[in-house]
Amino acid sequence: MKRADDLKSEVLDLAAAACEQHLAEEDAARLEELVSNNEDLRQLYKLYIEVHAAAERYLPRLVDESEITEKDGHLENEWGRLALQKMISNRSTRQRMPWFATSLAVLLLVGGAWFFAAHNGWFVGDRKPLVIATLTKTAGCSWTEGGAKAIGSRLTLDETISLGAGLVEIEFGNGATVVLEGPATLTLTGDDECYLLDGKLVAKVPKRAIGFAIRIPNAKVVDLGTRFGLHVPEIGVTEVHVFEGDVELTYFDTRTDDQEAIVLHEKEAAQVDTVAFAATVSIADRNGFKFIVKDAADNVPARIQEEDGVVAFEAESFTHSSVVDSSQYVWRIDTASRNQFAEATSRHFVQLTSDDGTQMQFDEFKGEWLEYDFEITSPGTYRLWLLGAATGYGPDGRPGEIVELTELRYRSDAFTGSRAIEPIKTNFNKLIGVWQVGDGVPAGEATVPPFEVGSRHSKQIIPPGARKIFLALHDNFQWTNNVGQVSARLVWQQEKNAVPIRVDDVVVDAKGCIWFAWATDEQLGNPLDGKGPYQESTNQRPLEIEVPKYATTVSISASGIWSHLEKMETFPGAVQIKLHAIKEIGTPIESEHDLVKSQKIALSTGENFQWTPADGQGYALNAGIHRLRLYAATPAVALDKIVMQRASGADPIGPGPPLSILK
Amino acid sequence: MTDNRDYRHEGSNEPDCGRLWVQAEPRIYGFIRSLVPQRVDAEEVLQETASVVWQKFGDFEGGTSFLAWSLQIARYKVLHFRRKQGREALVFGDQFFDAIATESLEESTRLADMHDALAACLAKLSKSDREMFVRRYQTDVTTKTLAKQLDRPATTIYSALHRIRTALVECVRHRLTVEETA
Repeated sequence: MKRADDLKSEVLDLAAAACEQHLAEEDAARLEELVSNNEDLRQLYKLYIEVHAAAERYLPRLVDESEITEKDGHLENEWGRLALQKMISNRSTRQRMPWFATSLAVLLLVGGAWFFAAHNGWFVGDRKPLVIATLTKTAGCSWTEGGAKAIGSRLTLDETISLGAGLVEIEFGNGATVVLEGPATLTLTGDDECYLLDGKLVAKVPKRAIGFAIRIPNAKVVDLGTRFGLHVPEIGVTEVHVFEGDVELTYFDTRTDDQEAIVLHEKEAAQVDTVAFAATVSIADRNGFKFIVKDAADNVPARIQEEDGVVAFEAESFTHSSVVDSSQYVWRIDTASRNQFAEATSRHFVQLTSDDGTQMQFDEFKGEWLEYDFEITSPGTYRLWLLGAATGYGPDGRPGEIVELTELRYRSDAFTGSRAIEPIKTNFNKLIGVWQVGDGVPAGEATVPPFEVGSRHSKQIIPPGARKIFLALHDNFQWTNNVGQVSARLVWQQEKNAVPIRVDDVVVDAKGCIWFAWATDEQLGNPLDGKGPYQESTNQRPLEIEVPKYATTVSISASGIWSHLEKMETFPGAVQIKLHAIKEIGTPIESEHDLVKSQKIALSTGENFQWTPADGQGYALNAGIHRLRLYAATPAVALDKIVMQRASGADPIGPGPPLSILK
Repeated sequence: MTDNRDYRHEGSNEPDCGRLWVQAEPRIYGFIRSLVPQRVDAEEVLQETASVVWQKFGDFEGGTSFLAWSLQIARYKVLHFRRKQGREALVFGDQFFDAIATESLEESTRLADMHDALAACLAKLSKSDREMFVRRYQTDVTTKTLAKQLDRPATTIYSALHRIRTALVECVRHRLTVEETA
């Protein structure tokens, strides 16, 4: 086998060249070719390199075996620790601060990292594969990240459960049980605490386990002997519901580390809004938040009962889950269940309000009639107010089916400067990010590849030295006319499955601009062009977020609605409104008739809007049931409020007649 | 409520990170070195690996292979390094990485210690070869510098070292084969 011998000697020669740093580019290619396709040659190469590597790094051990004794295990342990410590501290002389010396300080300093504080197991010897909980029940589970677990699985410290769907019950050593409903991500961070990154759970905590804590992004719930439910959506408002007993809710502003704690009592609920770092909490009677987790006792879905006896819970909102598509962040209006909206509360919904506190909410309506029935109990003249913003183009950037055009003209002189605008297609309608490394030195590449609004972005490795990330939305053309916003969650982690170092919930304004948002494809290679991630001339800065120290990866998920101009030209935008009286008391009804016939309203971008009949006097309405029909002529219209109000009223949100929404 | 939970931290016979690391480190370094052509880079990757191993030791399950676990981390760190490097700077391509990394991970259960074998083989070298080899690696001088020190042509030194390494490779391979089939 002369040929084989030739190849072997060729590989050895190339390996020698590699060891002596003499490997030319074509040599490397040849070596790669040889070893990739032949196992013998690969083994040979590896062994050669292993010998070389052993010699260059461990020669003292090889030539004087007595130096390192195998007999004294203790000594060797110490040696190993020292070696490790030395190695880690060496990092400081190279580029970083000593990891172990600063870790505590960093944990205290870095906002969002406070949930680590209960840990003391950072050092070798303290950290063991400690089993802290058991998976006791499963039902209809689909697992993500290959983390399938069976009933009876031992769950260890820092283990993360990534549940795609279904329910699991986890029993902690102290007797606390958690029922988790997927999609959810839960990390076991201690024998009496866990971290819920997203998902829903119900916790039952016996007296002996009082103090059991569940950490959630930017907040923490400590049990005071109770049963409670949590819902942490991937984006949006976290909800805490107390079914029995009390819990303490601690929340804080990640920028200032200011903490606040409140105690929630039985049948109370709280919403924790963590957007833009600062947690704000609103508390209500549990019935005040219908759009939420419902306790197992109230609602045990039959399908779950049949399987493994898991006690389940279900979010009430998901009983009409076809309405909610949180991944797209679009709430489609389901007229069949519109009565549900009368009581729903969520900041993502715009509202139909009345002075008796009932709220009716909706968001986008897309080329379909929306109908709202309401009852007028006291006849009179009413005004209809529409408050909100509407735009000509939807999140897909395309105009909808136009019923009738009302022209809005955007002119290019809104833009400062005279640079020719070169539309690009690549990153259109996407969230894009760019790292800033060091003091104003750009990373040189957009290391957060663009992703579409409404999608989840996989883990990104943070480039070394990155201090900030800039986020902006990318339209095709000119961001200054953009409307809307996108909520994004950035989960900063050190390694896979670790509890996040920090979670940032942020809102990216559509007007933010990264310089390359309108650069040509070629320029994307160096988007910053040495000038920083935005152009001063635009005055539209992208969102700027500090990179937490020691974070090595970041995952970004985002969803939201925004609109933008596709072309700098005339485009239509309109809302068509009809007000019908379908049943007026004392009036025989032959058919629906329009009080207002198909009025088309021009809505300006980003402006609140009020609408009254042409005479400005309002509508004379009898007592009875009336139907308000709204039609968005353009694909995305968002209204903040619809208010029916007596014409005598002055303040559109002030007192008016009772407005009850019929089932 | 079952109470057969496993609180292994109560006992102290659990292997500790430092001890395990010391045993595994040469193999890990060898692995990294076979994928990272520059020593200084390999050292950096090794340090980053050590840092993660140190910090994530809690995730390591006793009774499983520490080496395999650490190699996974090392593999990830090499991958990280490669991404950091950028495509242009890479000496070896993805094919190479995949082939070497995958196979090395599979081999991580190999019991025989290459170092023992290498030490034995080094002891068998002729005195002059051994001196040459030690001299080259003791201070990590370049072949060129070594040639100057020994007042010989660089090519001679280069060839000599190559011959010595090749001999060592053959010797080590032989010993490992014997040990593993024994």
